[in-house]
Amino acid sequence: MGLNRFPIIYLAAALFVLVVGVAFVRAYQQTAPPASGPAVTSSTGGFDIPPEVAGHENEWPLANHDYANTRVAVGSSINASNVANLKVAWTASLKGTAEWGGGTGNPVISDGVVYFQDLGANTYAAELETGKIIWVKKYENQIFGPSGPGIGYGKVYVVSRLDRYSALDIKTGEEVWQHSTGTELPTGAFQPSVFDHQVYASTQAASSGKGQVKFHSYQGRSSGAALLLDPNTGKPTWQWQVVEEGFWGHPDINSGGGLWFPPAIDTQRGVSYWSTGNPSPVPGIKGYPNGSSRPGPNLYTNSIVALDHRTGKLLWYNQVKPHDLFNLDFQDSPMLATVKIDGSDRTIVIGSGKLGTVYGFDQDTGKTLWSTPIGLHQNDELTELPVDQSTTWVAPGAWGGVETPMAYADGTVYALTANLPSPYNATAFDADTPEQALNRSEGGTLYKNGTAEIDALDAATGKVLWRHEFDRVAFGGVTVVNDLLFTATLDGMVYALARQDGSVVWQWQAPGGTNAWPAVAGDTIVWPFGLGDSPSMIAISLKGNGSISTPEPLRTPVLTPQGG
Amino acid sequence: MSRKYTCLAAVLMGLILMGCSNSHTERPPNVQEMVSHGQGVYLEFCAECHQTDGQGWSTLYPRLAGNPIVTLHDPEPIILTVAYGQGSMMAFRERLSSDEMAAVLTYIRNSWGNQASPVTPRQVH
Repeated sequence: MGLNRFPIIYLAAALFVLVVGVAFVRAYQQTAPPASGPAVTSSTGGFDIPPEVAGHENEWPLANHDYANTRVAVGSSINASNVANLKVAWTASLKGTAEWGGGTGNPVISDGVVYFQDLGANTYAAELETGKIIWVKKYENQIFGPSGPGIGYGKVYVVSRLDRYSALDIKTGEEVWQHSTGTELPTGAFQPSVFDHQVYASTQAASSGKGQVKFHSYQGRSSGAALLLDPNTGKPTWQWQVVEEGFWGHPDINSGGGLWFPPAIDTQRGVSYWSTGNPSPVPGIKGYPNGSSRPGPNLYTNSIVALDHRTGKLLWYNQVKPHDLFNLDFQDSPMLATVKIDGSDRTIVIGSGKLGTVYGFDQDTGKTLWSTPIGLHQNDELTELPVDQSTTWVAPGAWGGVETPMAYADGTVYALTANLPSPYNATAFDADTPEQALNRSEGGTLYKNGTAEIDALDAATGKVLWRHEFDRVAFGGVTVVNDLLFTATLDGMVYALARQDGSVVWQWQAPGGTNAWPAVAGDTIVWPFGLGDSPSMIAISLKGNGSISTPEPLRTPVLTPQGG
Repeated sequence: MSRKYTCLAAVLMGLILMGCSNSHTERPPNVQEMVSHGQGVYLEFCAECHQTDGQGWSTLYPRLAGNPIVTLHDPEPIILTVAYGQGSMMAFRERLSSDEMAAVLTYIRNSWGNQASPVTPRQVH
């Protein structure tokens, strides 16, 4: 009997040690900073990574490659010595079109399959190697974009209508569930990402139009929101609304805080980082000039925001552009980067957007560590405009600044900026509605006056290391592939620049224009070219054998944007 | 008595027929009103790509100013383009009403030096 009791005591003691040990390790993992850089796609910190993402670093399993949004291709064979050998491997037609053409946003790649979407919400799975279509899920619903699929746990998650997310079976494309964001407010949903048995999604400050499925920007009482959905049912786990309750005093007029791009996720801490869009009206409407319908800073627009993964609780925020008048969103996906500051490694959050300034933030508090304006800035610091019929040209404009995703690699941030001013007036020339006010500044923006540039910044200090200028506007984001940066101008001229100094290594005129950015896996780049006569997804590859046109001759630079 | 009612019925029938006839005859369009309405529609839905000066941009967004397809005597091709889209241009048949589509077509056919007949809501219906 005595002999029998001893093993039980030993067993109990061993169990106690095991439980305490596991709890200790788990607590440590959740609070410790990343050990080997933040470009994580593997399981850490007690949080689960979907099998379609974990271990697929050499492909492109998330919108911006990894949860840190670095947009760095891993294991690619493309570099400066062979980039000139890229040829078209395959093309796939993007049949669904909407306001921004046939394709915006990012394809994702896992297990040799490319998942992508057109702006009719139609969703495709194709073999990376050949472009052979495996399945198509047709919706034919015009969506706004940027769009694109998220993958995980055997499903593909997409925006299937302006007001709806859907989950598709990853093998067949059959729809498994739908989640409606509401046919009233808000709507305009964007590219999801999947993490820890949850789907991250978001909405924009828009209405689908009083029960109709039509995109109407900036309807009063509409706010961007971060959503966490159950991947098996689509049921929301939590929702965090960007605009404060009460809509700053005028819910019938005010709106804002759209979430346009996926968050960065610290997979060890279980924290998501979001960049939020601007407040509306921009800048005002009849009777309410210069944003007077929305006094105060207009929280939490134009902010970097940290949310707890499990609860959606706001951990901290830093509003970088209070009471913005000029549609200067802080909308790009934040990036997580480990940099050396004062001799020690430190993970920071990097953000930017249409306001044309790149920021480095402390990951624990959100405090600004550095900020660097890039590109053309003109009248963007004005706090009011004359209340008359005069026009003020503001840069960055409605589509200016860092409109599309940045990249981060080896201590350097790469940001593409559109230098494109827009015309503003205190009441948007007596606009009756916030949507009309927006349309008047966007519609008055002249592409012929636009240029673009890529700036390389030291991620520890924000110092500009080099700049490469383009003679026309560009919305192609930045993607790092070994010693190269890839981007494209709106008219579809694709550039490979040397990361070292920004010099042009290679360029190629695609058969269509682009307002999207690519996915990269192995020797292949998959890029939506959704503008022009034949909107297409195009794969260019070192193994491709299709024709590739000769680069356009040196162009005549366009004029510097005018002042009025 | 019977003849009286027959005459009354004939008069009524005539009035009804006149009414039907009138309902199928559109009032001549007020071009100035349509251009003004169309300008607002253009700024909201078209100028982002085709630009306020109608010059378009690059080869992606076709120039409307001086574009012969825009000012064809028969507007059907440009009506079809706006209604059903072309290439990366979206279809507007569910986005714009017949009145809005007619107004914006009249506007682009009569702006930036273009001169062509107005387009009626009936033509785009």
